[in-house]
Amino acid sequence: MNRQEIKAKVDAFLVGELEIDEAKISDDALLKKDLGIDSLDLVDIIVLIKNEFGVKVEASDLGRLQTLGNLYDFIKQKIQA
Amino acid sequence: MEQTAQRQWQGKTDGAPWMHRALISMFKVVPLPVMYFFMSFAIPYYLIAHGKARKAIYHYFRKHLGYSPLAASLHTIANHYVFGAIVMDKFASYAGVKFKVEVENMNIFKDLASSDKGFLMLTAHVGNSEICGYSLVAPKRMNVLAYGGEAETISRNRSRVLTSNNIRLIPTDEDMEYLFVIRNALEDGEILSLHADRVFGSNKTVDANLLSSPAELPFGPFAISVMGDVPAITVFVVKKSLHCYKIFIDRVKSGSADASIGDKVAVMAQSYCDNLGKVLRKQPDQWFNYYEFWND
Repeated sequence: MNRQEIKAKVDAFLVGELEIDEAKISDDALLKKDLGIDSLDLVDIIVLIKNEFGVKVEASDLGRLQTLGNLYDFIKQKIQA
Repeated sequence: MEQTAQRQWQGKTDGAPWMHRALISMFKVVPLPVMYFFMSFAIPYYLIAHGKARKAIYHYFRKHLGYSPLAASLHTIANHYVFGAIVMDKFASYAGVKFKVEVENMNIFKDLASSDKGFLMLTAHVGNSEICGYSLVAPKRMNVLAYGGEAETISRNRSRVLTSNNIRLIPTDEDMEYLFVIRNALEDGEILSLHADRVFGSNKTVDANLLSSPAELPFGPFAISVMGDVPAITVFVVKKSLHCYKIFIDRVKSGSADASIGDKVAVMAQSYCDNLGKVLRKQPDQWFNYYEFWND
């Protein structure tokens, strides 16, 4: 799965289920500050990543996930590992 | 259906640690009715000093249960007394006092507890949900979310008693590590017990009707069930008499499989409220959300 496909799935979830404004979606968007993602949303995203991509996110991974771009790259890296 | 709410519980335990320790020591020698008697002297103070809480409970009886002004006033006093008695019971249990517990629909709990899948136990600030930990024993670990406002003495005593029953207390704090503990526990087929009537950790809410009036519930507990694809039950524990409690267990309905997450959460939240409403009509004095819970 390439980065574009990953992005499409993640963005569809953010917009469709978390009701995040599509205009705010960009690689540089900060998850908490720009997209307003809180701890509860994070649980949903973690479960989505597990269900859609088979990737398990650990607590130690959170520090790397500051922007949406970080999230796409993280998933891509884990899939390829 | 989702709204941003500004209301989050900022609760904490009253009393200094030495007072908690003294209370636990007293329960080892002083009978419960005597302790209730001394506790009752504190009721007028709380009724006067905590006017907002008193009014919120009065509104609950008057507007949402339809009591007359006199009945609502008398039940407001009764509510404060029962709350005090239940607080005494908690300390009594830390001191080793045992309570008789009846359980309605125990088969629902047993069926889920014996399966490989994890499930959620949704509780509320009604009665004394702590009693569950002493009575609902399962062949798998029960994880209970413990809120950061609890005093250390209480947390330590609760943990000491509950750990022997294969119960793990998970503190919720600013560090989001507890979210992963929750996730892992459910994936491992364990039980997660948490309140579903107060907003915490997130401002996201879901609308539902409780006692025929619109209310906002936290989105989180229901979303955990939906996203984790685990069933949920409601568990409410009410005080029946001096040494007796009753546990009401019921299933929480989930939405249709092809519904959106939001719609499934809404169905669950309403089912939770329906179950809670039934218990409140049986034991109306044991509602312990001392703030204006409803949107009206």
